[in-house]
Amino acid sequence: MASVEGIIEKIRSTPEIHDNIVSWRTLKRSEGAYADFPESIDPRLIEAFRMRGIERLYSHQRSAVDTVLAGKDLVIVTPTASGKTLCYNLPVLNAILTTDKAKALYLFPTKALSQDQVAELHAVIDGLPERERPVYSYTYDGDTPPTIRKKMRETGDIVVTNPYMLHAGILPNHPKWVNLFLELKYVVIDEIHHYRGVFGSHMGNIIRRLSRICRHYGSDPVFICCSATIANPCDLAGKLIGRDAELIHADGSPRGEKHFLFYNPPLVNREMGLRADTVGEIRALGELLILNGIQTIFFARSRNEVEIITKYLKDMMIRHNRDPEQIQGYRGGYLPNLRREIEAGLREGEILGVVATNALELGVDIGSLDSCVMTGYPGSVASAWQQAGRAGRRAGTSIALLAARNTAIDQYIMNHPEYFFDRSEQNVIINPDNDVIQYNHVKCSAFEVPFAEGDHFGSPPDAEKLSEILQFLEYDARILHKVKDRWFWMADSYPAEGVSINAADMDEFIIHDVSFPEVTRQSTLAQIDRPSAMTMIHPEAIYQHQGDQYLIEELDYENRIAYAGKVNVDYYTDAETETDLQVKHIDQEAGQTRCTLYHGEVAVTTQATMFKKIKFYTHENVGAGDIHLPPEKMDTTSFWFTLSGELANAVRLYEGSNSGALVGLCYALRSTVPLFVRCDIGDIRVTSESRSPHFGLATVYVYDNVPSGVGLSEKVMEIHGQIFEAALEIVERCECNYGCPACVSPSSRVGPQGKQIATRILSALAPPE
Amino acid sequence: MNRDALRERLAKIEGLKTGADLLRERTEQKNYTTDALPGAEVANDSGTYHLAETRIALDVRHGDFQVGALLEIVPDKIALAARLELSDLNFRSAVFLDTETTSLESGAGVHVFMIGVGFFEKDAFVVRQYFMRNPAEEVAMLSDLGELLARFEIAVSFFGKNFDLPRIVDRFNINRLPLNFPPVHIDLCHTGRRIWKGLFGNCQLQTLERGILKFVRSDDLPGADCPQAYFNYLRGFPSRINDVFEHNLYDVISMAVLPWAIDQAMTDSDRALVLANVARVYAEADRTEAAVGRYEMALEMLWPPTPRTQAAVVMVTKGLAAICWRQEDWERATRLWQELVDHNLGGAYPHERLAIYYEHTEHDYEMAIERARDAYGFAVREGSESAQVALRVRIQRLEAKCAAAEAAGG
Repeated sequence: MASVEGIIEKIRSTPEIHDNIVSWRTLKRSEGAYADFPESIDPRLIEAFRMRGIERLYSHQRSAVDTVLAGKDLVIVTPTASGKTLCYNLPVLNAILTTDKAKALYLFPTKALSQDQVAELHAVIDGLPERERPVYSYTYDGDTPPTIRKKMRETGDIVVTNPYMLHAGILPNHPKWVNLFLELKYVVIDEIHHYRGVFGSHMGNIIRRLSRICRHYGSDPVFICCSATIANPCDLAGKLIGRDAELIHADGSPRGEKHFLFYNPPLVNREMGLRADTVGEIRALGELLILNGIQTIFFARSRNEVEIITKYLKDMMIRHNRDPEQIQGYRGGYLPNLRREIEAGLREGEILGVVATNALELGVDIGSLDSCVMTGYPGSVASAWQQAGRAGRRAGTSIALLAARNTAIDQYIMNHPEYFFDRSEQNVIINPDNDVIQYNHVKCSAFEVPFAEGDHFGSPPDAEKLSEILQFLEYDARILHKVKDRWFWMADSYPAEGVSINAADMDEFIIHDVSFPEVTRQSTLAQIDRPSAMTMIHPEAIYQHQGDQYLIEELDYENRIAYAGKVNVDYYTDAETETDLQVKHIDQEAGQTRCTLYHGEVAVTTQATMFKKIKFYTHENVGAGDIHLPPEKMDTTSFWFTLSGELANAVRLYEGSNSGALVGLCYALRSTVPLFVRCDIGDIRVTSESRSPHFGLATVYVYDNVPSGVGLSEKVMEIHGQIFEAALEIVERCECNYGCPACVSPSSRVGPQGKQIATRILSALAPPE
Repeated sequence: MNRDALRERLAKIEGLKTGADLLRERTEQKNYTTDALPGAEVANDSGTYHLAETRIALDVRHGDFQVGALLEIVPDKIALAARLELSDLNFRSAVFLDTETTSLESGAGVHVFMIGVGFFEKDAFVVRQYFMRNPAEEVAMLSDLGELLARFEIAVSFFGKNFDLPRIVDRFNINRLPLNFPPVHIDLCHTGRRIWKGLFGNCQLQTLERGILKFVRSDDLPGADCPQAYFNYLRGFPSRINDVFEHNLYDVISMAVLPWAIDQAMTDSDRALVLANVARVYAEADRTEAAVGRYEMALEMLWPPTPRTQAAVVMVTKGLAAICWRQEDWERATRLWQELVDHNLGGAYPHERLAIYYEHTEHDYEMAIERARDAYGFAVREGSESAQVALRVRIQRLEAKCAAAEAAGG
């Protein structure tokens, strides 16, 4: 057995490991800053916190509580395990205890998260002395039985829920929640950095609806937002709650020393840019840690990978005559009992190693571990810190190790520890004013509380747009009826039902399983959004579902139904699409010598052309077919740039297969954008034209993959210099010769000169050092 | 984005053609004429609304019954059927209530645009129909309605516990108005189903109207069309709104007569199914004598079982045998189950009951096993997992008991 310090020494003195560590940062121990409970806090509550071992507050908790007590909206940005939940539990419980009628609504992006926070909340409530009327807190989600729902509506002091239930269950039925809305004093929105892109834009509108209902009942709650570290917490919170929030970000919690190591697996084939397999490397590192008794959490990128790493580590234990049960997998899909057992095993130290998918699936109750190993960059700085936060006790040393994969993003991070440690913040972009999203929520809101002339829904300049929408709903859709300056819902429908808050475009295909013709009632296999239909469920496509293959036998495009039968084939299908962009409107233009940059509106037409049948494992092409389906059309916002003719000529873009370099350029940009603009990989698309019909020049487009856009491409326009620079670095630093998945994609796609030309173009675009 | 572009995009989302400008003009011209409506405008502190009052003499016939018949009887049997422990049920303090809403869904956007309430006065049954000519009249309408409702002890509705009442509560909540709904609520849908279940295809109000009250509506506007009739009225096409008034009026009157029919059924019936249903009501209320007599009459009328009557025969036999069992009349109970077995009726059930009887009362394990095995065969065919498990356990236990008895005897 070794101490953490001993292991650190061992890592330093083992060249096979140490040579691959490209960055080693030591985060200093900090003492922590403390403050007393504010005087106005009910002594019973202070006693309850004392019983939980909390004698005083951290300085940031005190500022947060003071801000809430002063009735101001706020956003709290602090790292994992800094006692964030106390920032809201304390003022909320205090208000309930002292007024006997204040109510609070807690919102969490996922159900899993809310359950953990409720456990913490209940622990505090249980510590309160007996009262005539206890504090009632309930979780309202899809699993809540009807009898509890009724009780919750009548007596709940704190209602915990998620955006889905709020949107489709609570808000449209607000008369049943009248007790809550009349006395609603606090709305807690935790983990706001999850509300990004389309989801976040919906969330902003859901909060607008909530606020209208509160106004109807005469309540004006204080909003308490919490976020992981992001670049724009105030901006995001402001857009979500529709007004300014005060920022609390100085962390007063104590920290032990933490060693943060970046581990890049060694190159095994320089020309092809191949590196040693990350999972294999993890195994060796795991051996070092686990066998020395260092309690470690491993983060894998998929559930499948959790199982693989768990198996590797268990096998390793057996080889060393150790108990393999000291290694456990932990992922969604495990039954709650098993999860609770594993959590207890970790707390009590019986389990040495746990392998998990992501920090969000973990209960909060696992305590803190000695070390954390991440297989691959989890996609954002905030998630990486969240995972790293699982290691590290208040006192004592801990290790966090990020092992890179051979992807552009991971390699960029390896080469730019300063990106991670020093600026380390990404923007979370949402646009609640997206036309389509906003329209749908205006509809929902009109169902909930009639709009009156002069009302607004969102930012005041939008008042005119609102009035347009209301008139459309009155005259064209005939859903609203206007009397005396107010628009009343007059239709036999329930609008929230038709609005899915995960996608902007609600049109969905249903896939029927027709494997068993004798079963007359068709069972639904899955649902898929319309834009994905042409590549996923075109006739003859192999649709993969839970490891089984289904052949799409028929696609009823008109009625949005696909008929799929289970088959046993050794291939999958891969559809190819052609994307055509038409520039509709230029909002911004910035000319430079070698290129011109634009932002504006584009019409994107995507057409699936053909599909290939590709054999599993060997990736042989074993057949092909045409796809005849209507094209997908979408109006959205885009950033784009044209290359000057001189630049194109200088890099010989139009010679031979050289224009493939543009494909490589797109690939590199697509990997780079999420480093600077926090979004899901599917939220943006990058495409190119070697000679755009509009400009007659080579053009590259980065567009929002959502009707009307949610502001991502606008951000790209704003920070294009950083993005070009980073993309150039990624491509230049990559040690492959002709392109690989870690830079511009392989030369089979971009041509033999692709990497070199893409590099030259990027160096022409990137601002001089 | 300019105005028309937005409008066109929204139209595309909704799958609409734009160009409803005709409606725009029409709606802008409309005025809320009351000429088309029965009744008159009422004004109070909160504004105006529309009220139609219909007074119906107590001897007016509604189908086979008189509107005032309910006042002539002692309503103890109705209370029993409605599962009310109430000795002094007085329909003079009852309000009969039916709403018309803009949707069958629930939620804040669902409006209750008409509430029909009926009550007895000295010499007449009075139906008041509260109607909002537009949603801005809601508060005025609800405040007067709320005052009226507070005067009554009992509410009578049809499916009102699930439908009308929650919607009324929602509207009062939204408008922050106090609601004193009568403390006792008789939902004739539930009560009616208890009495007339199985007699017709369903137990909806209009089915009972036709089948029990013998009242047939002509040209009735189906309830499902009422929302659209109201929307059209709001948009200046009032032609069908009178039909909504009529539809609602008949609903309320039928509610006032149905309890009398329930009392009749509880007293006597020449229909075996009604006797059987009523017998069950009495049995549940521990009125054993009344239950047994009716079960016996019903069984006599239904015997011998035919494909049409066999379901009823099973139900009646089960009910009667259960009473006998409770009274420890083993002989009669087993005879009834055996009758079912002999006629191959009732599936696993009579076999299982007989198995229990032979096991625990006769201690004849051989017979018990035989019955239990037959029951298991039926349970497999009926596909009931839980019954199969229970029977497997029973058979195993019986086999053990048999073996033990043999060992002891041998």
